[in-house]
Amino acid sequence: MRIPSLRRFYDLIFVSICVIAFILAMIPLAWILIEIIINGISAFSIQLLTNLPRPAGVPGGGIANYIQGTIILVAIASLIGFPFGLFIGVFLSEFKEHKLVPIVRFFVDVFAEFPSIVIGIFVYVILVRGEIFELFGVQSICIGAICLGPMGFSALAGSISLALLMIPIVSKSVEESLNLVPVSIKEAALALGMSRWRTVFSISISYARTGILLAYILALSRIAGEAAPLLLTVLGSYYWFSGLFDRIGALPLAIFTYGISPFEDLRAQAWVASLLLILAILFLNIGLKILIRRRFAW
Amino acid sequence: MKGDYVFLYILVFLSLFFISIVFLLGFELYQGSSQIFSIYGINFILGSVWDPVKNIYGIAPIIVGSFLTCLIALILAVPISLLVAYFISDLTPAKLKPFVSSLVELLAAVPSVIYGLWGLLVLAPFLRSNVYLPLQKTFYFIPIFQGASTGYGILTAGIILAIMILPTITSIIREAIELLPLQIKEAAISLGAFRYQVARIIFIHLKLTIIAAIILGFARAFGEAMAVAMVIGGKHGFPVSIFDTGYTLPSIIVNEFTEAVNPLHYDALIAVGFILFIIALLNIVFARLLIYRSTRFFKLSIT
Amino acid sequence: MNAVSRILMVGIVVVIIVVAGVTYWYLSQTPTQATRIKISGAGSTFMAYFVQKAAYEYAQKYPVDIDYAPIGSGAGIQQFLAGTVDFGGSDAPLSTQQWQQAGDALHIPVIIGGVVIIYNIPDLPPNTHLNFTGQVLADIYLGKITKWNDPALVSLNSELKNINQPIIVVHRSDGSGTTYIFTQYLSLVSQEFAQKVGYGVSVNWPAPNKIGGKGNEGVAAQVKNNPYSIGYVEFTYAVKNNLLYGYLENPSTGEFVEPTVKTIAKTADYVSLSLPSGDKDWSSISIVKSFLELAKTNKNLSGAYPIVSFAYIIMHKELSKVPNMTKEKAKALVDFLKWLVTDAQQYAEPLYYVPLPQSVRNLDLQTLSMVTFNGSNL
Repeated sequence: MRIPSLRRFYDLIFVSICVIAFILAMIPLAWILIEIIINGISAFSIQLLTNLPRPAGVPGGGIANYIQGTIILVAIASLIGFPFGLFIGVFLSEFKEHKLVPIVRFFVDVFAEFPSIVIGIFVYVILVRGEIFELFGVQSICIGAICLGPMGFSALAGSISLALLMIPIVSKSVEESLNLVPVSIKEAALALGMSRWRTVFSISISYARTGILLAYILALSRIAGEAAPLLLTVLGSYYWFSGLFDRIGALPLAIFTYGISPFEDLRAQAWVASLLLILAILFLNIGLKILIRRRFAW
Repeated sequence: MKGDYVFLYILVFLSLFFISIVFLLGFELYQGSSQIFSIYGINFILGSVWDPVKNIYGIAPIIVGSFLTCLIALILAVPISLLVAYFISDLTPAKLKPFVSSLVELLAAVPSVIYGLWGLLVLAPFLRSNVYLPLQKTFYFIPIFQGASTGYGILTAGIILAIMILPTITSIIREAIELLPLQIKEAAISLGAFRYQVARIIFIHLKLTIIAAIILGFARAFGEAMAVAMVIGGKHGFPVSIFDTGYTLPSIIVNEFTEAVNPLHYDALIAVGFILFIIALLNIVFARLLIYRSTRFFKLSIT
Repeated sequence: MNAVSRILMVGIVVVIIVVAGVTYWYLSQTPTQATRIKISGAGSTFMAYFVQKAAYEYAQKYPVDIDYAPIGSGAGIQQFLAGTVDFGGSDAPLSTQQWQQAGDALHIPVIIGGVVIIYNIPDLPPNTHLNFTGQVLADIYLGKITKWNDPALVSLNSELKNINQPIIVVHRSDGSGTTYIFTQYLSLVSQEFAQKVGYGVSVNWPAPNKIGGKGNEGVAAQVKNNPYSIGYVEFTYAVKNNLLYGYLENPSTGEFVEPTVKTIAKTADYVSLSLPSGDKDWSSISIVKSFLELAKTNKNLSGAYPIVSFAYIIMHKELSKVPNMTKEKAKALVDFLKWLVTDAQQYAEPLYYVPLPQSVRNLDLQTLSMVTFNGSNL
């Protein structure tokens, strides 16, 4: 029977092509990870983790402040971005009947796909340069003794830009997680006389808490690797963190700056920084996925 | 109940605040670039000279660079994504599926600076010695292959972008495949269809989603700044060969923004940001419209 | 929750605690971190080696951290004008318009350096220094000379005869004082270049095969990465990266001069610049221009390398104009700069720069004495 075997042959070719496509997709991943591991480990030293950067060619330089900077920036960004994203996610999921919801959902979707560099420009113009203040015709806006003015390149501006990136990510994941809460449970709580907001907090969020935690941690891993907005808001620093309104260093920025430099020792440090960054991201992504899979049958 | 009203007001307030931030973003970009547009008008987009010294700003070559890199990325990524998506959803045993799909998602988890570092220090030299130079030696008579090839440029940037958007497109298609009613696949199989025929049927059904995925992949590639900036080589002018260097809209912002010395240069770069904003907006709106239209019950999360 | 995920949970919590603890340890490692003064500057990569070395040494002696980000002179000027940094670094002086815009800008030359031509030609025997004339360089960057075995190049360097490769022209992709100096030189030696391209921190390069590098280090990196490429960098970058640099024709005597600290210093010596007071308009000050002018009539300026320039620190006279500035910071900045133009000059030569002549140091100290904070002297 020739015709079926011809089709069988086509089928075999097709399946092989699929497998080849998958392998092709995995080659860059494997290549990048191998390069990072090889280059990162060969240049690794404890000194790198404890010392401050030194000028190129001077031995003993380290990336310690970049690590500290990334941790601080991500921590502050999540303090601002997570609650914001959480509330918007709650709004989109629990109050679907509200007229504003489809509009907000649209804006969240749109904002999620914005190039991060545009958000960097935005924060630069608004906060670093302070043009929002010029808009209102004032040098700075003061509430009592606390004054907000153009803040120059600063850790706070960097954190805010990362927070902005975080909001849509958190919001979408939170919305998804909350949508998985069985309606019957919510209805049961409401039927028992619980107010809506109590229902949201005590029932829905607690039921979906693993998903929400996952959303938080995945968002963290996303913004930890962002360099574009930081380039325009923080400008990098060679010293320890010294205040919210001072410049700060960060791992992705260091990778960029050291990577394009011609110095072998700096490039080696860029690889080590990449190794640390990707280890952190992999740990967050994979470690937590495993955790979640135990909870839900995904 | 009272608490509910307060709660609702807080949520609405926060949502409105968020929307106003998005509007503020658009407004600031618009205002910052209005000067440039009033001076140059449409010539800003059509002009081909970018000369901060003489204060001439035209971004046509940069737009061409952006489109070329994204086109190369799509040409490379879309076929592979489709095949990988089908591979994961239908050819992978259920036990392995989470593992395999995590692998693909890992591609998305790698930060773009690391792609840039790898591209700059590893991929570009590799491509130069093992792909570009041999290609040039064999096809030297074709004009588009001539010119110096350094390993950095539009082609290399396109390749890296392809790697970066692959997980995006794959995950959209894969979810769409899995949410298709089972009857379609079952009907095909019961009629004796082989896997390649089943795949074709699935993709025909998902035409609109595929287009949406392509648009979103394009949007992601279009807005990518760091990885591209590190390998694109930075040339102002139309690319003359496929190995040539160039610029894309985001990468010129990375390179020139913090130091646009004269105010007009600064405005021109904000105008570039504005154009990026508009194009990103259009892309997403189209893609979302397509997705909402074709699948009213889909709930897609895009990494 | 089964046992595995419980362990994972605990593991994650432990990791977070460890990370937090280590961060705290970092912070507490420098107990006087809170009392150290942080000053933020940005700009020229030309003088980055010098400023960063000086900042490092200064930080060992005093509780002052000078954070200098080498992002290019263009950025230095831009961020200075925008008030986002405490001072800017630039090898190009402010244009008259920028100076007027700033109002009370001070120019403080802190070092002298040279711009050299680097190249990467694998076929050449090691340590081959090529000869270049200004005209030839201009033609390369104009795109008129596109191959290494062009007759004009071969007439200067017979070793290039068999190198039939396109020249890959590396330039700065960011706004650069080094570009300013180099294009000024090219404009002065080639009418065509002056007309077609002009000079500035960022120009439109007509050459066909070109690559942009970010910062002096980016250009050095691109030349290193790309065989058959040519580029221009500040001298230190060429030496620190083991890149070959060319000998340049001295327009006065016609000899091909090797760039060294001595020959760069000679050029500065020959040119007796009458420098204005630090608070005036410096836009027309240029060692390159003055040297080339002088070379037209004086044919005895031997041993001088032509492309030489000052590098400036640019700051406001009235420091309260800078947001987040305090009197303490202002005083620290002025003290640092006073040290930079005097004691720190000892670090210049080991880093392949030329220290300031005494007259310029005195001028700088005078300029620095004009700096005020809220009207009162520092």
